[in-house]
Amino acid sequence: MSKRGAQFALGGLFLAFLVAHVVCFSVAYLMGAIDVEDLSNMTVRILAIYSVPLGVVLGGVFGGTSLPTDRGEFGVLCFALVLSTLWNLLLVVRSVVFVISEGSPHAIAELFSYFDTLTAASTFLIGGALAYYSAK
Amino acid sequence: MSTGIRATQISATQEFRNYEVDPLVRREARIVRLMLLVLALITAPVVSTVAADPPGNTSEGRLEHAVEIPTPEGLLHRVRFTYAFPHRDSVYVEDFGTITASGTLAQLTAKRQITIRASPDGPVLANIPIANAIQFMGGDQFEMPQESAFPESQHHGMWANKAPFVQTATMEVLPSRFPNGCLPYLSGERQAIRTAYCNVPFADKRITIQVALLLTCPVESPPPFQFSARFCARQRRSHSGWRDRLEPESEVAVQAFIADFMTAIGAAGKHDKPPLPAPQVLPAPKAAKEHE
Repeated sequence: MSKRGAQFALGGLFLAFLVAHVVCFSVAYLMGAIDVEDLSNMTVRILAIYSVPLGVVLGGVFGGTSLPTDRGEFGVLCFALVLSTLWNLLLVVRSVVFVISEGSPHAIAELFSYFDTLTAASTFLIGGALAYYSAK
Repeated sequence: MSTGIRATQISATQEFRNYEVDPLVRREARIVRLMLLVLALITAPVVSTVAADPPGNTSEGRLEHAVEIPTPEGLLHRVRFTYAFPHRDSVYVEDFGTITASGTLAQLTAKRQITIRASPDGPVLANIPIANAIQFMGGDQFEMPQESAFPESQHHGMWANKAPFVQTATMEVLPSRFPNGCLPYLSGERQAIRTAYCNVPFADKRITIQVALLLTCPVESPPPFQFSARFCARQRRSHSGWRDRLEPESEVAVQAFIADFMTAIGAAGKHDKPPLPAPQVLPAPKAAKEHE
């Protein structure tokens, strides 16, 4: 697969999971579990978390003006997608748990504490793949 | 070899049997035994009393239970104690005011002992130390707003009942509406009772509303006198944190709760009128029903 195709695949994956998060938060709002201020704050915070991987991918897409370059085999891309999916699943599963849980006054703080801890600890899962497919 | 050892053992036993104790030593041993017996007879009732009663309990005052409540302001105790001073008409409990001469009190206190006096400046009749307090693990966090957190707007009522205001409010009106406890104390020139946040009955289970109360009255003033009540309300949705801003339907519920409380304490303040029963759960607001 071409480099550009791999970038679109990775970018699409991260965007899809970002949308999944926002959908989870919107469901919580529609259920009456959170206030509209909470929905705004949570959306902004999840955007901040996804801004790092999406920034790298989009930087590669818009920054790489040269012709598409072959970046290895299809298996390498699959491996990169699997790692990225794993990273996203670790985040989105917690958002789903947040929506279906009974709730508490500290539920939102606990959710984002988990996100902060997880993203700090698991950058290695996506760091290599994103750098590989975004480099010129 | 074994025969030699056996012969030595027999010889030692016979020597022990032939040993005669000095009569003086025997008499001393008898005296020591007698002294021990007397000591046991003296200390037995004391030991049994100490074992039966927690330290500090007296015939006039008895601590029934004490629960430790850690708060940001410091350690509070939720105590319940009974007291009886048969030969008096009234007694004065520090931070609580003048109350009937016998009864039961349940309150929060920041002190380490309950001091009961004959009058505000009178001699101490009893000190009940708060001992053997229970510590509960987990549970809902206890929260009591500071006095400065209460809004300036207040409700007023008249107290004409001869029964002590603080005692009647604390024991008859507040427990059903503010079950998480109340802290009586002196606030400047006024007697104050501040309660912890407690839930307001509300049909929409996704919204939790809580109200705390600050009740004040003149210190040691004979009835009739005017008392005032200030309320601090907050709400949260099931997954949200607490917010001071109430939604319209929540505000309606809080106003109904306050009106009910003022009716109840107003009824208790009338002479020989019992307080009203506990509030009922309010119907769900229309918006919430439609939403469901």
